[in-house]
Amino acid sequence: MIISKKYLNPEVLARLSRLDLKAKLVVEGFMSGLHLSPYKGFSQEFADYRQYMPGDEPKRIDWKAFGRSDRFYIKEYQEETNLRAYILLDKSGSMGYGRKINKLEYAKYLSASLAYMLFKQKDSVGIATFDTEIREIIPPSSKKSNFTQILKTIDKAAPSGETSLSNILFQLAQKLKRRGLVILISDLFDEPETVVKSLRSFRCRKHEILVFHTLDVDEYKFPFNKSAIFYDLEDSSEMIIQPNIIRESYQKKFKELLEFYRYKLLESHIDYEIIYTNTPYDKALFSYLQKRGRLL
Amino acid sequence: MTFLHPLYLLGISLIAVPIIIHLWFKKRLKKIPFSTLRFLKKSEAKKFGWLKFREILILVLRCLFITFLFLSLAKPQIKGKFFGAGRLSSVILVIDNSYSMAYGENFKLVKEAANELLSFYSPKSEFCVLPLCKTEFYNNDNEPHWVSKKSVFELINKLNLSYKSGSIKNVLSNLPTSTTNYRVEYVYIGDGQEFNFKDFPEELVKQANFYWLKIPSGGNISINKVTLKDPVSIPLDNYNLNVHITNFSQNSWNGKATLKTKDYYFEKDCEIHPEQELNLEFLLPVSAAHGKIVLYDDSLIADNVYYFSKSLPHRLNVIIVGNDRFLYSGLSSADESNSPFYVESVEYLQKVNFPKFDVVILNGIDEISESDKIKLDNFINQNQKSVIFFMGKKVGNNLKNFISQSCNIENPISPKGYATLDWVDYAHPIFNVFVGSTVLKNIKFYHFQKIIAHKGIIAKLTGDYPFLVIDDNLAVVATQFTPYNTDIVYKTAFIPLVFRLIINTTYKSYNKEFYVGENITTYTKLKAPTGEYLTKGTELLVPGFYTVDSETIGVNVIPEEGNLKILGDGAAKILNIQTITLDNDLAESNLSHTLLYFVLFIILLELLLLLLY
Repeated sequence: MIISKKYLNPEVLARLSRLDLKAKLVVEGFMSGLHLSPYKGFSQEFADYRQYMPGDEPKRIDWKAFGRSDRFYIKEYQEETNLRAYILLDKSGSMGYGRKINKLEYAKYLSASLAYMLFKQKDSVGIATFDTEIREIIPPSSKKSNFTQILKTIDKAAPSGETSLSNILFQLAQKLKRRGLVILISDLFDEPETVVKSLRSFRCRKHEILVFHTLDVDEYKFPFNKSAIFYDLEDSSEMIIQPNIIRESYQKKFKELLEFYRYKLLESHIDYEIIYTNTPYDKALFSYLQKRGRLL
Repeated sequence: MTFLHPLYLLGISLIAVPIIIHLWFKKRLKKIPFSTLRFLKKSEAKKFGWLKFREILILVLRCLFITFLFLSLAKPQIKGKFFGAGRLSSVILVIDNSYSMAYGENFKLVKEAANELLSFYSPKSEFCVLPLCKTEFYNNDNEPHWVSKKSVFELINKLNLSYKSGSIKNVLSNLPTSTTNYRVEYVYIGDGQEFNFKDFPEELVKQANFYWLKIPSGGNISINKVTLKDPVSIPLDNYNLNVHITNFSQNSWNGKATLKTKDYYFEKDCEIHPEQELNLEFLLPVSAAHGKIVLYDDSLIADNVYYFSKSLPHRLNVIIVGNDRFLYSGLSSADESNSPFYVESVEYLQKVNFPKFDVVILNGIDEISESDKIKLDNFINQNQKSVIFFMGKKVGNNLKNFISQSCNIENPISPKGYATLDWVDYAHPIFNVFVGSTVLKNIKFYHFQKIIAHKGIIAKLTGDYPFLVIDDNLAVVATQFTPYNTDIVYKTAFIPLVFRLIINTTYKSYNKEFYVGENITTYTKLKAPTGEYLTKGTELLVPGFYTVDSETIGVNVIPEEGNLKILGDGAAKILNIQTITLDNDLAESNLSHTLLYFVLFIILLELLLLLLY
């Protein structure tokens, strides 16, 4: 495995401590795998000339300047911020679930990676973390200081409280006045109907939405065997469950839930991606890029 | 409720084991954090409810399993509910010791039931034991009296079966004279044959409770009577014996009837439908004059015993006065040594040597002399002598005076021609042999006279002209016995009729049979079946064959004793009799088996629950 690519594996990434480094490694690893430069085609404004250095693409040489000065110059452009992105990170209790890497951890790396990528692309990026209410919100900006702030916010996020996702989304929809790209990273554990409704409210405000439905494989497969007391990470309620008895029907119900989201969000032109905590990050980043590509 | 092995009850404390296991298991359960139970709860709410219930149910079943198992090992006994324990009363115990209780182990059961019943009474209660049928139990020196609970067991165990019949009325007429200390109550323990309750003293039991502790009636089959198929014919080699059996129960009876004589043994399988009769016929050699008929049910328990004895009647000397054609030959036998009659005939009555004869038959005689009338009067006043008068065309005054003790004869003779017999009292023993036949009814008579019977008309002709009048030892037949006057002689039925007339008027039995309780006065030596000699006036107490002088007689139980028609519950209620049953009201029921069935059921239920989610 190429070293830069290995950090796309969530488990490997989890061993690193610094979030900024994690984000960087993820993005760089991801970028190295792309054939086309994500920078290509960006709308640009002239900033300055710079002397041609070996390694620069010859096509970038400003031949007019060469005519005037007989030296090879390359034009440098001030890259425009043309995307406003909001990362909405669910840090409710249920996001704390995961056996090797919990959902929130995964969501945090993903958020950081996305923020890094956005920052790198000079896009304005902001973040909001929430559980039962909005805990922290950083308005979008392309400044480095903002990025640092975002990373700090992400780093601080710890799972707690119950999910009241739809309420939060409604509130955020009110707050985020300027249209942009909303990236929701959540397990969507709320009433599916109201969640879809609240996401639609973003659409009403002309936001583009990308939903990363973050799940642990166990939540889908329910691989437990022995009878056990299951306790809810959100409200701490307990139940004695015999998994082998209820597995089949649970899986069926869960599948129905995912199908519901997929169908309803597609219907509302909302991009929806199920991300399991063992899914490499490139899948998520690729989804983001596809979305961005469509937007620009 | 009592327990035979109460120590096993300690085992019930083991129910703590499944409870502890349940709690320990619950504590030992791994706690698994899960993102949210919301969807689990929503989608499987019903199943969770059921699982929780199932867990509790399994725990309860395990506890019940242990409880029932040890309860069954402890052998719980439930006392009958009818009587409360420690009952304090003065109890008149009427124990059925009649012959019917000899069936199987019924009499033993009666004693056991009595003992069981007594266990409900307080030791202070007082008791008086009265056997239903006469035995040596109480004699003149030992009148019915009150005894303590301790002694009553002994008294009951001393009781013997009796071959006599008895009634509750008679028993209760001989109660202890001493005053009672407590409230009196009556308890009859027996199978409750209907005739035992005859003239039941309702007034007496109105003042006190009367309980009937029902003992299941065993034998329900009875030999009603044993008769000769043809009592008239004089058997030379074999004779036929008819055994009439009645099934009194509501169920079919399957069994066999055996007939045993000194040298012969016969056996017949038979099936009798509910409340039906069966007539079994045995062909016996003449030498087999007496024997024993026993009915066995399927389990080879003797249901009924009947002793039969067939001996020819004492030979009667018969004199026929008048027309003797047909009648003489009809009454005479080819085998004189075995003939029941020694027959002579004379034309005139004055020639008859009366002391020599038992029966005088006047056939078509119009008149008798004054002296003959006196002779006839003297003759007829003797025991076991009879006169049979077949009326001729005329009846003279002397003759009329002679027969006037039984009937008046109207003159003149009318009508002429013939009349048909139109009514016969077949219930009269004379006609036993004709039952079921139309032979007699078809008989035509050519000459008869109108007679007015004082009593005993047993057959009538067309119109109001009695045919046969019976009055003690005089029989008057309203026609002459000649081929010219009647065609009855052509009917084979008439000779048996004459035979019967002779038997009935002389009161000579054609077989010698007595019943238990009867006594024979005219004998010098009476030997019981047991071999002992009885004194005069002794009642025949045991069935079997007795030797009376040189003759053998059969002694049977009273036919009623074999008749097991049981008093119905409805009838008992009307008589204010409260019935108690051994199984429901008195018996201590052992619950062990029931509890073991519960244990089995619990195991099955738990297996089912474990398989079922």
